[in-house]
Amino acid sequence: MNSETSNRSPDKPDFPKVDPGPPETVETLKGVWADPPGWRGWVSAVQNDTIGVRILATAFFFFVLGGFDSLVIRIQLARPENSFVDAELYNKFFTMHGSVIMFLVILPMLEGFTILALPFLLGSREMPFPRLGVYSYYTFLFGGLLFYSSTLLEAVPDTGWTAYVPLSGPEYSRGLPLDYWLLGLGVAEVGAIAAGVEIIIAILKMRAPGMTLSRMPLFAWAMLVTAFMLLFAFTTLLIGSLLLELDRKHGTQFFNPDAGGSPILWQHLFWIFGHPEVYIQFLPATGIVSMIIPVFTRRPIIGYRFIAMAIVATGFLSFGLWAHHMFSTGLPPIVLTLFAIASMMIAIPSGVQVFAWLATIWHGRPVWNTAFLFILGFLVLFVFGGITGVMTAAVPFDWQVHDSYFVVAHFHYVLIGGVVFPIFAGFYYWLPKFTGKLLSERLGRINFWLMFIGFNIAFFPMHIVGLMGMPRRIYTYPAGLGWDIYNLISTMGAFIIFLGILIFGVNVILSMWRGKPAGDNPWNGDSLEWAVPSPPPNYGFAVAPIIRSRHPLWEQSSLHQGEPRLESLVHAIARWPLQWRAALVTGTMDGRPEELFRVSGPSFWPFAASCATMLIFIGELFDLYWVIGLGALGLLASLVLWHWPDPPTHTQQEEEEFERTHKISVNARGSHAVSRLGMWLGVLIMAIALATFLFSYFYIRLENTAWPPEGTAPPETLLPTISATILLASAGIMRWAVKGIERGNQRRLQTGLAWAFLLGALALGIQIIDFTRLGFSVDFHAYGSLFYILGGFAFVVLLIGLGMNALIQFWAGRGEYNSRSHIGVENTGLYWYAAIVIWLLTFAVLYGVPYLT
Amino acid sequence: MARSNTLSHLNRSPWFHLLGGPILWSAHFLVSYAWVEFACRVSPLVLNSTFLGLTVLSWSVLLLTVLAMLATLYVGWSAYRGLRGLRDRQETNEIDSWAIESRRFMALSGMLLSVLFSLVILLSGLPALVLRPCA
Repeated sequence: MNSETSNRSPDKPDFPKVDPGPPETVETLKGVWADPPGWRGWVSAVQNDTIGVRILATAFFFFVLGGFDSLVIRIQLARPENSFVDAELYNKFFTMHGSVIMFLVILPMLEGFTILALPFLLGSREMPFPRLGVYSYYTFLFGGLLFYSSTLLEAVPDTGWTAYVPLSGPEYSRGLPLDYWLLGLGVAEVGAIAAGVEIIIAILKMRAPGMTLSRMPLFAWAMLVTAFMLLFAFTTLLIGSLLLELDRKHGTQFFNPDAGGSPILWQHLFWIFGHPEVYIQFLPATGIVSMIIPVFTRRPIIGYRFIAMAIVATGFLSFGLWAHHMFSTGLPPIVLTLFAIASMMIAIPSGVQVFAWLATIWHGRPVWNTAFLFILGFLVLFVFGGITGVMTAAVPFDWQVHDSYFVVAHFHYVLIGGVVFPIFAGFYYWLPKFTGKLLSERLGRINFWLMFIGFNIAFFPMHIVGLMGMPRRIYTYPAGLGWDIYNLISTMGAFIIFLGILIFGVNVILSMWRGKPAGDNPWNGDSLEWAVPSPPPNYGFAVAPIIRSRHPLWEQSSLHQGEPRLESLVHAIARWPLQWRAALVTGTMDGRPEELFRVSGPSFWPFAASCATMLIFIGELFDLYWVIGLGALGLLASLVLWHWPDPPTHTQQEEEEFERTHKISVNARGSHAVSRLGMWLGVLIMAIALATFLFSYFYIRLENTAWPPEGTAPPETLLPTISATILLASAGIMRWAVKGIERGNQRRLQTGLAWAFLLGALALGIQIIDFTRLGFSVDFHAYGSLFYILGGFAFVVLLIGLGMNALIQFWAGRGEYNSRSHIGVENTGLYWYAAIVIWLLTFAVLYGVPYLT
Repeated sequence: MARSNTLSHLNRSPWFHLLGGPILWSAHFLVSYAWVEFACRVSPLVLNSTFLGLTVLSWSVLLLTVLAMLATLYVGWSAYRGLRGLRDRQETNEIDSWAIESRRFMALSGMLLSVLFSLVILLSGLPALVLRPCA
């Protein structure tokens, strides 16, 4: 422990507070960080607390709807041969229940909470891309509403939340229902990916000075890994959804075995998303648990490093489990064991976390309040669900219980016990910070016991009835099979859970109405959010904290003590700049201050971009192609206006003086480090999309003995070779242009960009000409479908590159770039190279693989 | 705030130490999966022929497993060496000491992950000793 840290007991309420900053500047800071009031604020507010609360409230709204679905399911199953709903309606209810809870409730709740609380936990002022947060929110909201609007047209999806092909294909699911499922949830998935990008950058680049990776709150570790998983999982699902939508509406044959496709491919794509999705929900919940347990056991967590590494290990291993949902599809034995072993091994990092929590509780002095009770409930239920998970990882056992109520019991123990209970603990723990009011402990305890007892009554019997052979997704069952009593008990349990949730709602309303004031730190917490007032000011920290411990409020005597140059910096940013929203960028590993940058302020355009995105999906849903075009144009225009440079509010001399004094760069046009990392993540998303397309290509290739199918000649390679060569040349010219502006040569930049654009457009044109001469169509065979979709993907990627190039040329013409500030050029360069690599790989496969066989 | 010159020799190996093990497991997992799926579907004669009681395909999986496990252990060993190099390092400058602390954390964490993932790789490959690779 550092000499300037103190070993304060968590019981003593003399925690260090953040410096509120000079009184004369506080009001100015509030004004700078305030979003517009009234209706303008509804569409242009960007503050993380506003957006976070909106996401949470919307997710809770969907939670009520999804929960209602489950009550209908349970009423129908309460007794044999019940006729409360018919088979068709029952199918719709369980499909809506699973889809809503998995896509529109748990993950958005955790994302919303992260956007709301993360800057406070990290000692930062904002998320890195507040406008992206707005886009993420509205796409989630619109996607959810689009999905639910299916009820208005009586086109509710009914194939289960997994939408297996061929049931969900064009032959067996006619009409709109499945398109609602694919497109409504697709919009929400775009929002999830956007939130993932923002969370990664916030955690890696926007921590308080001194908050090294080894001092970061465990919730941040959990969200960092989760956000990366989001990019991998949701991009894969988006591609899978695109392929299914194309099969349904545009005659492609990806999943049609009669034309070379494979229905099993859908299962692969879905579960490459679907299983990590469970951990995408579970890991943030473990982060919440790791934050709450130390506070209510009055001691630092035991095994911080082990927990952090368990989170990393879980993130990787969770992608090696997808086929354990497919054990009965006829995979080779060695492949079965690969997935079975990964499914068992993931119990190790989960077990490490459980033992670290138990050890902390064992050595601590627990405070038995509601939040802690929910954590204990979580431990009991999650361990139970985890053990049945390891059981189903054993292939022979899985074959026995596959698609039975045993599996339903297992995943509800994991998802409700392992995720929903920590979310409720989090509500009881953090809500007072953001409302300033305490929740009732008395109602909280009733809430907990009703949910805990109700949960076990509802779901434990499902293990038994599952082992007795009751399959999932049946709308009724005959009497006399021995299932009746278990189903009746389950239904009673579901209503007890519902009552518990109702009590929670009452508790929240009563707390808002007449709750006791929470004070800054009602739980004697150790992390930074408890050092600011409740509710916190809109700018978070006027003076940035300096972190020297994992438990700054317990182990530091001051939150602003450090080296003189550091102290000087953190106090200086409370006084300058006061005209724009400024935030610190720090080193990825060591939390060393690197940059002071301008966080983007209120804007209408992210909302407009969300509307435009929605139009594209609606146009596809109703076959209105002019609406798709309108949406695409609107999206393009919104993105340009969204990124339009803000006018300068100070002189370059002011910036340079601050830089000289504090040895840190100032970027009022946006952070170099943040936007560079953002572009790298964009490239990563494109790489994941390409990998998914290539996986689909090779999977289908292996399903076919002849490639291309008989009667089709392999494609000619002359034109693709010419276009690839031209593109390679354009990469060299782009490099030359970027180097030019690094040396301040604007003319060289403009010339280089123009030539790169021309060569890119030429390569695209040549390739399009080649596509017109292929001699086969998109719908004759999976071979043709893959050829056009992969080629189309490369076209779109290059088109975006051309658009970025044109935009940069426009701004370069206005003199926006110089040797000091040209991150937009660098990012365009990076994108350009990535687009060319994607192009080369795609066309090497499309034109090369047919010749290999 | 720029690093002092004394830290300029520190390279980017911490990320290799931390993520090397998990990435090698991912590679082993995906290559094994793709290779067995490919071999079982295409079923070339040479892979189905037996050698010392196991098919050539089984041997190839085992070889891949041993290579991946050795590479993962090497990452752990490299992290251990990195940790030893940082053991007695004391920085008088507080901001520079953060860099040392975070590298220690990454190296020790990397060792833990390498041990775990070399075990997972080993267990993933062992079934090739007892099971026929294709149904």
